[in-house]
Amino acid sequence: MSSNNTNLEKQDILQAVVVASFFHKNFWPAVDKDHSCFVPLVNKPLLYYALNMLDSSDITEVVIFCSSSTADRTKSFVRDTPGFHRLNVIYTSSDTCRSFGDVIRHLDSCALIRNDFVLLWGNVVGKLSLLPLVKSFKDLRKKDKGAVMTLVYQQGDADTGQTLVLSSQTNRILFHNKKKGKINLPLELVLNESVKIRRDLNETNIAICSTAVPPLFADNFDFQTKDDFIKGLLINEEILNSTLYVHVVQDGYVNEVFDWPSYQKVTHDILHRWTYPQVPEIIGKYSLRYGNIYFGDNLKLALTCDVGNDTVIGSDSKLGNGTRILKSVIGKNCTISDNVTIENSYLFDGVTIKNNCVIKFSVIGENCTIKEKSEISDSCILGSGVLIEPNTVLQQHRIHSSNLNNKMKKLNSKAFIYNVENDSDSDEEQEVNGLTYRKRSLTVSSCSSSDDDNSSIAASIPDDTCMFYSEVVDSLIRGFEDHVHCDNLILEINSSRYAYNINYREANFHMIRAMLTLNSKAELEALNQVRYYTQLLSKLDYFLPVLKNYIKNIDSCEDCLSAIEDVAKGEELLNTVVVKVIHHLYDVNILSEESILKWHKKEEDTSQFAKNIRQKTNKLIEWLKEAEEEESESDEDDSS
Amino acid sequence: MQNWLEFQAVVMAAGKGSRIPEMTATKPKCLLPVGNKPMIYYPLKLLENAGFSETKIIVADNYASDIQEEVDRLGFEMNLSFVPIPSDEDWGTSDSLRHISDFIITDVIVLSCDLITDVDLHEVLNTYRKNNASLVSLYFSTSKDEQCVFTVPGPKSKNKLEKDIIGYDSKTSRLLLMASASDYEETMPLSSSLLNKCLNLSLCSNLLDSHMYIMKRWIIDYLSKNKSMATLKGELLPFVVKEQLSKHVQGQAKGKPNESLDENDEKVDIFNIPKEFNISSLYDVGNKSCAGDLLKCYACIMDSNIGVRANTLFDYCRINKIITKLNLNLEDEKDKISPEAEILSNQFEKNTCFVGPHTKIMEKTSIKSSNIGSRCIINPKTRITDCILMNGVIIEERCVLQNCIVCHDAIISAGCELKDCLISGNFKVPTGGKHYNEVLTAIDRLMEI
Repeated sequence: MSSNNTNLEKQDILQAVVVASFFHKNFWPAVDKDHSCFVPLVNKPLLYYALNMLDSSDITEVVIFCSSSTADRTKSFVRDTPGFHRLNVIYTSSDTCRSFGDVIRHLDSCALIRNDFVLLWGNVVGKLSLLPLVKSFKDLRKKDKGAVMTLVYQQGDADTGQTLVLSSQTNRILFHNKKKGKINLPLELVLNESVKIRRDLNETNIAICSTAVPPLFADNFDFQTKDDFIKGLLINEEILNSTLYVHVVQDGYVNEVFDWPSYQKVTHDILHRWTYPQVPEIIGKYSLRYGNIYFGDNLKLALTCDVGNDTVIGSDSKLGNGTRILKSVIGKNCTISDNVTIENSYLFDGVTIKNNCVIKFSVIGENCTIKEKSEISDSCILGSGVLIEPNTVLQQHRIHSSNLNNKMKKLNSKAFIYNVENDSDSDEEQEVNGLTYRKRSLTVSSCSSSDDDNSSIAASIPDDTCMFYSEVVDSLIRGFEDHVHCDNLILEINSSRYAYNINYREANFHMIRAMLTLNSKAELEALNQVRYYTQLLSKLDYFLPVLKNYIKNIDSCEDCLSAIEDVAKGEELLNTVVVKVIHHLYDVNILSEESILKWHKKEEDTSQFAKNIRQKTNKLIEWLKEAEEEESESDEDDSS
Repeated sequence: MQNWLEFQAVVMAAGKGSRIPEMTATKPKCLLPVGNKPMIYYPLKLLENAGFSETKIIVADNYASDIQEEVDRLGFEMNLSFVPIPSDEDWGTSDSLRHISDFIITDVIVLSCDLITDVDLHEVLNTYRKNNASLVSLYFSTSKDEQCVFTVPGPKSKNKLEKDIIGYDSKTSRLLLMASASDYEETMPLSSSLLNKCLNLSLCSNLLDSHMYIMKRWIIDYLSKNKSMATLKGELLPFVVKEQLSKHVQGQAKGKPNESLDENDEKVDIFNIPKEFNISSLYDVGNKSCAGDLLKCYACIMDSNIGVRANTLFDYCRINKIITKLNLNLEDEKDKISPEAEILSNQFEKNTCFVGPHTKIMEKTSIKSSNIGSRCIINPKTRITDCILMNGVIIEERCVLQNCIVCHDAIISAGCELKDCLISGNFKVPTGGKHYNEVLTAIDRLMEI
């Protein structure tokens, strides 16, 4: 590098934009909504980690976007943190921003961006040297003028549910899909070059952007999130003439904290030192003991207290006799009395816990007080300043210190239970919170349920015919229960038929099969023969219009009969009433006598069952033949 | 000699060469000359170099004696046995393999007679061994080194390739998807089971399938029980690759009788067979992601400098131009130009030409970069550049041939001027003809096929 730092013009200085406003309240009530970026992660505000990453990458020009309510707190935080005196921070805030897209539009209108910039969210943890990335992005821009963004992903080894299709050679994003399940890849992508389909890439919320990014957001008001941006750019590639690239971090560590499960995971990684140099004894004053135990300054530990692995205890905290702590983070100035058990929990600063309490898998907000013999477990989140009375047992609750909308259940004057179901204020927020909560309990409890998920996915890949059959069954069951009009059912069946490319005759066959097997196994056991028949009849009568629509000619009658035979083979109850069913279908003019006779004559398949069933129908056949003769006689009479 | 074999080799040489009918009307594809050897020499040599001592060659019965005669003349040390199959019944490669299934007692390696490459066969075999694979397929990456530009003889046509799409795990190169581009219209669906199986899938359409397969013995068993499959590439391979994703593979089929649908009754379940054969594979926990999978297909992707399947005119020409670079065998002077040939020419480039035995090249001829077969006669005052002359070709006086393929026993009458032409077997080009970019053939003979 020949260029001298002092000679650098303002144009060439690399800027970083930190978005310190997350537009979600996943961490509520442990921290207030707007203050999500100050949620303590191993006793440091979350924002610290992102700024630390910039600082260690020698990026000093930083633009921090924060909501106006947190602007002062952010400013004082940066000013008071000793490591950040090098940073030259510009603060910008706006009250009208409701999404990530709004933030970028705000930046565009403020004209704060002068050059290619590094964009990262305030929830990024880890170490990554950004300058080489910026350099390679600049090189990339020389080759591809349309390159607007390089997104940084961390290589993982688990399924992320997000599918990215990248060009093998350039790592350009060709296709992006966030949904689970199968994807439809445009064929030309594959034919043009070899591609990689990645599902193991974790988002990091770091991106290298060109100056073209803010105007792109400004031009497209529907870009709300980063995903909207990616999607929009890929769809309108020709119009916008912009391309996206991916950088995969193979070694090193970058991760983001966006909800409690990720909070848990990242805390674990920090304590296990994957994030080095962002580890407790470097970013704070801790001494490291064997087994990833970090002790702060000025602790008062009772002789008989037991501090287990993976634990951080903040400075000036006190631990009483017989207290056990395992896999937990204790904030500063906490007072924990005797015989307390704390496992897999996060206590923020200034928490007081009285004797004989048990705390498992929970988050305790700042300055909470938990009185004697309380039990708090299974994903409880306590807001700051909550007071828990003695002998309280709490599971899976979120508790705030004040009654926000007068709908919360009161525990005492300083504890109100937030009830997800009762809160009908805003559906959207409710959804976000509920999801987080469920995720947490999932990770906390066990992985058995996720295993179930996998197996159900694996089980749901039968061939088209089976899929068609099961869809028809679904349609019919729902149709019968909800009294859906038969015309609509016909439409549904037809669309399934086209979707799975089933020909008419197969469709007839499976439709009849489905109709005859609507009862579940359990239901069947409860039914006797007579009631089974009446039930079946009521269903068949209900679906008569459907039957009429499909069973029209001799061929379809044949399909219908073979379906009946097929089901009767496996279903004893139907077998007993099979003659009645055929007769009934004849009576309602679904089956023609011609077809029944033809079916009866068909003796070529010699299985015992086929013979039996035909024997049973002998009587019906005789009757039919007689009727036919009479009819033909009468016909003759008519004609003569 | 060691009686215990790890692999048995089968060379498929009954192909009709339907993509190059001009040249294969009267001669089997596997005997078309490449360099100064018939095409089949190269896969056989590859096997011999790898240490195989026995090879079965599947041939069409109408050409069986021709092929046997010619292959015997090549002087292989390994044991070659020829298995004729009926030429009029249109057998596929799977059918052929089924035909000889009684003779196959070990795992098997199947090669096509038009495979010309200098890869180390051991690397492919090691891929198979290392992964305890059920099936390994060899692919060539064709990305680099396309600098060899030439015009294909015959009428100008677009070199339209049938594109195969291969999907494999980027890390383990496990083969998880095999499809042809023509299977799809605009979009290509990727099932969720595939995406769940592999988190880092590479999809390639520019790989060349070498048609070299190594498979477990039980696949042959499956093949012999399942008569509906006619070809390996078209039917068996896609089936086996697809079945990897089936839920059976997850090890659920533990002795439970098949209670599934009626149509499965008479069909042999592919998962029952491997279970009997390699119970040991259930215990291998080397790779977490595929532990317990009974079916494991792998792709071996080679970055070889020469890897060609000479089954189209384009590839046939290409391999003839680059055959000198093949370091499969020692191409010494004696080998390139037969000592039994009579060369009187003064403008003859030794380094770039092959000449077969009993060929007579008269004086006052100029010959460059050409492959000339045996029993040819090249009369004076001719000029031959970039040509392939098969056996028994007679070129009369004052001819100019450039970039032509002249099939066996054809006669080029005096004064002809041919450029970028293909002259089929036994054809006689009339005197003084001038042809450019043409296929010269007796049409009625072409119609026979």
